Amino acid sequence: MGTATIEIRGVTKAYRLGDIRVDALKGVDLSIGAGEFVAVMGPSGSGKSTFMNILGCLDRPTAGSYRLDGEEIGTLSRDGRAVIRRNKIGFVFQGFNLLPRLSAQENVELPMIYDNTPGTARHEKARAALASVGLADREHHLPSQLSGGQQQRVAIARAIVNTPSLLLADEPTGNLDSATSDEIMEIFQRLNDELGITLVLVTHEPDIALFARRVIRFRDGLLVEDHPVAERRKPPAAEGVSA
Amino acid sequence: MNLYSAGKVSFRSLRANKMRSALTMLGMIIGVAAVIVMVAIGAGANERIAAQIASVGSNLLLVLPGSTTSGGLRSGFGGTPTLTMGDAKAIQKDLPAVALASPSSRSSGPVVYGNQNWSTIIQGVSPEYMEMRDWKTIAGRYFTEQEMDASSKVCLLGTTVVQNLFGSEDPIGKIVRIKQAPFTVVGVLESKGQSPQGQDQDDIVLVPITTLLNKLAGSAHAGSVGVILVQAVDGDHVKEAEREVVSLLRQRHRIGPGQDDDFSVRNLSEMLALAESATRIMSLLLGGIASVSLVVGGIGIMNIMLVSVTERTREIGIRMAVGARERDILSQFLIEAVLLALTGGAIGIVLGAGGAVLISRLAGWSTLISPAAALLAFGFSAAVGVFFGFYPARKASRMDPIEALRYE
Repeated sequence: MGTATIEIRGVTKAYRLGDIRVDALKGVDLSIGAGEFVAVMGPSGSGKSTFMNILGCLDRPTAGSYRLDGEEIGTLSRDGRAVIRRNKIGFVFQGFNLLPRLSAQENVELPMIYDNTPGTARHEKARAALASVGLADREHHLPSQLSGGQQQRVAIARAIVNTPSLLLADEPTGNLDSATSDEIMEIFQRLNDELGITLVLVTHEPDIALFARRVIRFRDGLLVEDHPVAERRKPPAAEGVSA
Repeated sequence: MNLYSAGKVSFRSLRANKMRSALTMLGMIIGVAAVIVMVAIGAGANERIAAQIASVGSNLLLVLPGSTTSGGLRSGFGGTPTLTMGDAKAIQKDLPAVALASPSSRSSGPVVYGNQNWSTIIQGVSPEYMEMRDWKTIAGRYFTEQEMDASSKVCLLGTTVVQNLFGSEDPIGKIVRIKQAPFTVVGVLESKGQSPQGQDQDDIVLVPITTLLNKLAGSAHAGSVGVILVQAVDGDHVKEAEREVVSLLRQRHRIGPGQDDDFSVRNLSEMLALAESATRIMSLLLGGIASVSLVVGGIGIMNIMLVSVTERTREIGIRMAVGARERDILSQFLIEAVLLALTGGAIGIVLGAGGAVLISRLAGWSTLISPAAALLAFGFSAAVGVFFGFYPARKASRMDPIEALRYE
């Protein structure tokens, strides 16, 4: 693996709520190597959301260092962070966050619109990404015409279309039933196994965390637990679907 | 994001809210249409006055008998016949700032040809008159110095008179009877249209002034002329010509120092220039009032864009999460505002042009739609879009992506 994909040293984050200072992160050190699959757990208010925002370059740490692929990005400007998000990071959210008026394919094309990928290349890459999540025949459907699981798969296609080095998923199965959740987790596992994309996944559910290779736990703004997954889960239909 | 993608995104979001976009555009449509109509009316009025100035002739002074100066009870213009043929000749011959002078007297009466008759103005002038008023003949010729000296019974007809007496017949060389006396038609005058006072300048018969005074006017005012038309050598000498005419006539009429003039001089070009500037002020005023509605339209755009930005907070968050920079979001919303303004502006120009044509048809006002005004209105609506779209677009581009993604 060589250098670690993510190198976090002494990261803190403080907010000001009126006159009260809230320390959401109180000094976190963490390394995540290329190709890892990490599940992030912890109760609400533990700082895991803040951590994910910093990891996703949506926010910057108050202090400390965050290196992504060797590049210090904790101090970048807003636009600098936007470019990192576009080129290196893919997001999958609990609420899917698709644009309701755009078709599945257009939603997947969104990140490429901002880096001026020419039209035909954009369409091809978007179709390929949709095909890789099993939605080859749903390109022109609007999000409202798709089931929750299908919408989440469109979101995954959008997240991976620019071949990011880091994929962040914030409770991606929170709105889905358990069968669909397993399908989505199977896709994540496949992306991690086959394409080597580094994956960081936030979840409340212990059995979803078992799909990962490593689990970390936050409490009160600190990283309190960090261990590999002893017995990794595979979805029951994994063999059939990936074939 | 390139301009094409940004334009496409903006167009789609406008189309998604058809009613709202249409109503917002309506503000711009009304504003631009109002400006176009008002400017067209103003330009039309201006053009009409300019045409009237050209029809009167340039650098002209009008010398009238009588006086308006104060001092006891006086009769008004033309009350006392104080100007003579000799005055007119002296003005033309002796004054360096004067190029030409023509005495002129008016009478009215029926003109008869065959079984047709037409009551019109009979104006006696000198041969210089045509040149001074830049009035040409469309058929035949003007009368000569010799005909004037001999008080010949020759006449020129205005087009209105020709239409009423001759119809399509050629009047040149025919004999018409003016107040019973037979006159030979030697020419037909070019059409001049309405005068600044709204009179039909083509409803006229021109005869040599000597003929009018000696053969038609009777004995009452024999030897005195109605007015004298004076042309300065050029535009810079009009004032000087006016001074020269006044001092010459005071001398000729033996008016001592301190006594009032028994004539008055009016500067025709000045009067028309005054009318022109009044029209210009009016059209500026109209355009200004109409521009207010354009600004109101712009505020409508700003309002709707602010609503739209708030409504689409989540969309903005998503776009930022996938890598949109500040300028990408800014240009998306700015283009949307400009698109609204420009579409409204274009429709407004078409409606305004149609409205101007309709007004000139229905109300009979002359209107003039210049491409420059249309282009200016189009450019101005783009500017309104940028100006009023900038604040909402900037607000969108400055959003915090985390907050925006959390927005319900």
